Amino acid sequence: MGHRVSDFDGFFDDHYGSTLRAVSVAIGDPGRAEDLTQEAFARAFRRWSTVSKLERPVAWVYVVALNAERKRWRRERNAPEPEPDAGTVPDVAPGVLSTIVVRDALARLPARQRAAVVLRYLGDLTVADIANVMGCAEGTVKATLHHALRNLRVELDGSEP
Amino acid sequence: MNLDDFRAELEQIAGPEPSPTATAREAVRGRVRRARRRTGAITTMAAVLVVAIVAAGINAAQDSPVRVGTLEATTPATTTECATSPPTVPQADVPSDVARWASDAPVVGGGALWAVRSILLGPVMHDSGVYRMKVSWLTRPFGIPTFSARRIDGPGTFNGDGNQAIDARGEWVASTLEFSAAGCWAVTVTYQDETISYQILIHDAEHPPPTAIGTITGTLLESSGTVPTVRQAVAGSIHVEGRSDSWAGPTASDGTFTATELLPGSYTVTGIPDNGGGTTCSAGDAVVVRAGQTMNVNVTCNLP
Repeated sequence: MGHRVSDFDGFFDDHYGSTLRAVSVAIGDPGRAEDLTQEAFARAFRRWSTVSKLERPVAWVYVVALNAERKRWRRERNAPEPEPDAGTVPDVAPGVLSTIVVRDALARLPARQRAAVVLRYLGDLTVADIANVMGCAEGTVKATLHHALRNLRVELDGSEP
Repeated sequence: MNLDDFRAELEQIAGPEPSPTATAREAVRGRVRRARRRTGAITTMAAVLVVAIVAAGINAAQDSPVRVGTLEATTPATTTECATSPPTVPQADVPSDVARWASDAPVVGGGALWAVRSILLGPVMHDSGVYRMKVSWLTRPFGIPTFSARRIDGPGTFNGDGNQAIDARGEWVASTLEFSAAGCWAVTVTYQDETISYQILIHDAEHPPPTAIGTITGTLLESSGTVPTVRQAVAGSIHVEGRSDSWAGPTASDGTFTATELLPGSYTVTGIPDNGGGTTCSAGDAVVVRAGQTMNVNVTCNLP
C-alpha cells in the first residue's frame, strides 16, 4: 500500500506541471485546463491500481483530461479543411517578435491542429498517444500534424511528424 | 523556422512548467474525497492513500516555489478564509477586443479595465523578502490603473505599479505587484470608473496556508468489564463519519489514531479491534470538530 502511495506521489510530481502546461496551451484556456488536469489526476489516483500498470500512465491522464475536447475535434475533422491562411505567420526578420508571432499563429490554427502540435512538441506524446487522446487513427494524427506545421510554416527535417 | 526553433518557441509561449504545488495537491485530494462521498465507497485503503497525498502535499509545500492560492472555493481547507474574487464575465458579454487580447480565456472586469482571471492567480515569486507577481491588464482607452492592497490576516505593506506594454495583442498594462508578507491580501485595482477587487492567498513554507480543517486523535481501548475496570489499548481500525466528511484508517500498534483534514462538523467515531471478532466500539457522544482544532477522544470497547 505504501509503495502505491509513493508511486502516485512520484507520478504527480513528475507529470502534473507538464500536463497542465500542455493542456493549457492545447485548449487555450488556462483556467479550464487546471480544472481538467486536476480532475484527470484525481481519476488517475482513484484508479491507480489499474492506471499504474499502463505503459505510459500520463497518456491516460491526457486522454481523460481532454475527453471533452474530443467531440469538438471530431466535429472539426468532419468539416472541410480550411485553406491555409496566407497571413498565419507574418514575414518578420528572424528572431524578431518570434514568440509573439508563433503564439498568434498557434491561436489561429484550427483547435484540432493546435492540440496535435502542442501534445506532440510540448507534451512530448507519441503519435500513438495523441491518436488515443484525439480518438482517431495514427495516420489522421500524422496528417493533422503535417497540416499544422505547414500552416505554421515550420520546416520539416524529413523525420517528422 | 525549423522544428527545433518551433519547439523552443512553444516552450517560450507555454512559460515555465508549473510546480505541483500544495494547492494543486489539495485540489486533487478534494476531488478524490468528493468522489468517494458520491460513491460511498470509503475504504481504509483509500483513506490512507488520501492522507498520504495530503502529507506529501505538505512536504511539497516546503519545497515548492511560492504560489498563490486558488480563488475558487473548491478546496475549503485552504481558501474559505481568503476566497473572494470578482465573477468571471460570461463569454458572450466579453467585448471582442477584450476576448482577442485575452485569447478567449475567462476574464474579469468590465468597461475600462479587464484582466485574465487565471493571471490573477499567480505565480508569485519570493525574492529578497518580497513576494512579487506580474499581472497584465487591459485598459480602454489605454492608461495606467492605480493599485492598492491590504493584508487581511496580519501586518504587511504593498507596492504596485504598471507600465505600458505593446505586442501583437495591442497596447496593455504590465504590472508588478509586491507584497511584503505571505498571507491573505485584498487587492483593488482601479481605472477610470472601473474597479476590480479580489483576494489572494500567498503562502510559502514559512507561512503555510490557514486551514479550515480539524483533527481527531485518540486511542482505541478495550475495557475488561471486570471491577476494577482495566482498559487496554489495542490495535484496530477507526471510522470517523460526519455529514460533510469522513475518514477511515487503521490505528497504530499502540491503538492510537489521527484522523486529519476533517471539515468542521459533528462526527461519530467508531472502532473495530483487530482481535475483537468484529465487535464495533463507539466513542459515545458525537465529536464536534472546529477549524484548526485537534479533538482528543478515546474509542472504548466494553468487553463482557
